[in-house]
Amino acid sequence: MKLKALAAAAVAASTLVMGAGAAHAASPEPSGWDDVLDNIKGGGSDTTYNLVQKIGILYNQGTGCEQNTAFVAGNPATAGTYGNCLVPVNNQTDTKGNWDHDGTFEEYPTGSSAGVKELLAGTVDYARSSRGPNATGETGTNFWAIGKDALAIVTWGNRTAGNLTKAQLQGIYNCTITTWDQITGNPADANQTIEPVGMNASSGTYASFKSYLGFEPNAGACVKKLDDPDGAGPQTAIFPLENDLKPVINATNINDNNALTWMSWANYRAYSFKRQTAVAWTVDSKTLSASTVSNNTWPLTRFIYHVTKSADAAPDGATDNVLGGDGGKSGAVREFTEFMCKVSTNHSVNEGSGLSNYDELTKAYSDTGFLRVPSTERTNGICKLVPAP
Amino acid sequence: MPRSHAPVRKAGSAVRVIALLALLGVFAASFAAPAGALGTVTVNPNPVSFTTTQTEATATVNWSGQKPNQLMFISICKKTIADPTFNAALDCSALSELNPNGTASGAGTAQLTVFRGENPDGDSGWGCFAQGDTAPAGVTKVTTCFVRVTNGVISNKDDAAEAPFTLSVGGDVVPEAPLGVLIPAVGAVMVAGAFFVLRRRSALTV
Repeated sequence: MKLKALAAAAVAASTLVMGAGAAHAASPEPSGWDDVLDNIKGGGSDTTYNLVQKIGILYNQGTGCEQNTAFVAGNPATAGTYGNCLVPVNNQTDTKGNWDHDGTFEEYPTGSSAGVKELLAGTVDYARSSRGPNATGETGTNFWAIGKDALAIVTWGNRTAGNLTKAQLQGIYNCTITTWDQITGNPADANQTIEPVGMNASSGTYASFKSYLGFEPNAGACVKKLDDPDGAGPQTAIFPLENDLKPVINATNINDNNALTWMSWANYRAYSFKRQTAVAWTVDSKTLSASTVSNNTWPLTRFIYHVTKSADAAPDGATDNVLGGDGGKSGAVREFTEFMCKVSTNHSVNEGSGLSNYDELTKAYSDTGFLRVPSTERTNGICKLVPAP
Repeated sequence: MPRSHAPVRKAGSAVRVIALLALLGVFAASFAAPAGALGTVTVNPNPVSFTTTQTEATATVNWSGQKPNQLMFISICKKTIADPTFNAALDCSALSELNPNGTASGAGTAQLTVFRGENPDGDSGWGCFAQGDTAPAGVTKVTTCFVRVTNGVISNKDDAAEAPFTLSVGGDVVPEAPLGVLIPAVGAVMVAGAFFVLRRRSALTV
């Protein structure tokens, strides 16, 4: 009897050990994890560049599997497994971070539309966008709204901020309203020509303003370009890159006291160096603030997006779980998307700060001026999904 | 020879003056606010009044001493800026923030929507409540919140100034007596009580 009992206990113990080993032998849960370290690349928006960089850093720091750290130069046997998860020896159980230790990298900004084109062409793995999907040409992509932004209408120099209506903004950019007295009502402004400044047309911030105006903001003959973009002498005139007033202020062909442009509200309030001396105008008598952006009473609100191929990252009903790729770069995009969208309780602790990564992400949003998607507008975790038609 | 004493006396006086100034400096520094020493903030009314069912109310925030012509950041926070663990991103409500244009004088005013209940950001785990309110599960009840004012960028600690505020519901405000009044009053009551007890004891023993 005693011998039988001992044998049974030994069998039970070995089953437990094997079971435990199996649980950690491969990547946890049905997911995009495959125990292999993949590096993925994003491109596109200038507006969201800093935010997504910060999110990426937190994701890259995420806890995960124990890695094969034995690097042997020139040894083909280790070349393929170095940095990957140790299988089956693995004691890590935290599945809320970055299991595979995948890495993300953000290309220098070229504009939202350029980023989405790169995604469709396969030269990046995901895109950053400050505009929603186009009506055509972007089928097969998912636009995950990860935050909220707005457009600020700004002037600088000695121009005091006031109020503009949508009709006045349309008139300024279609060149039918040409002098400041038509806005301010001040006769002293009668000879002060309004100088509306255009923007890089690949920019999502450009697309957002175009959508608001109902026409191309750059098309008017009165709309200014930078004549001397680098200050080194006459160059081919270009429209300035978005959200940075410095080149506009430095341009010799633009009168600081009479110019007007638009920029990302998040960039406006987060980066005083980009904002310079810009002041924001009210529009349709609405004040630009977090609450008017959040509740959409500010007339120029917008979401900012993380854009993926639908095959890489797709919704799992109305949950914060993300479906899609099972491994490789596709799986890495799926898991990075889930990291952006999951609710606070599904985040792990940042090993550097001791704070939850959700709190670390909160700091990233605050540092870069964006709001999280308001709770009333979320569809998947803390994101709002907008599939491209 | 006696002439040579004069500079010594002068030097001694100078040392005493410098020492006195240094002492005054240390004294002043020890009483200076940790941040935003030059800025002032007021909230009116304070307490901020709510009806029983009201969850938002408007208060007037006035400030001065900020850098001129800078973008302003006005936030509702759960902690004082004097708390060494204060972090504007984690301790202030993002959705309640105002960003008016700064003024040439560095002073200004704004109408701030004060929330009663959970911070509208959601997921933050705190809110501003009146004394008699019950916070939902998982939400920390903060009965003294702060309006923080700074300029340039939200993380600007150097110019940050604040004013604490409380919430009152349905006109049921009980004015708080300051400690400077409460402590002597309680002390006086205790002394009087002790006097009567001792007097009664001595009367009984006689």
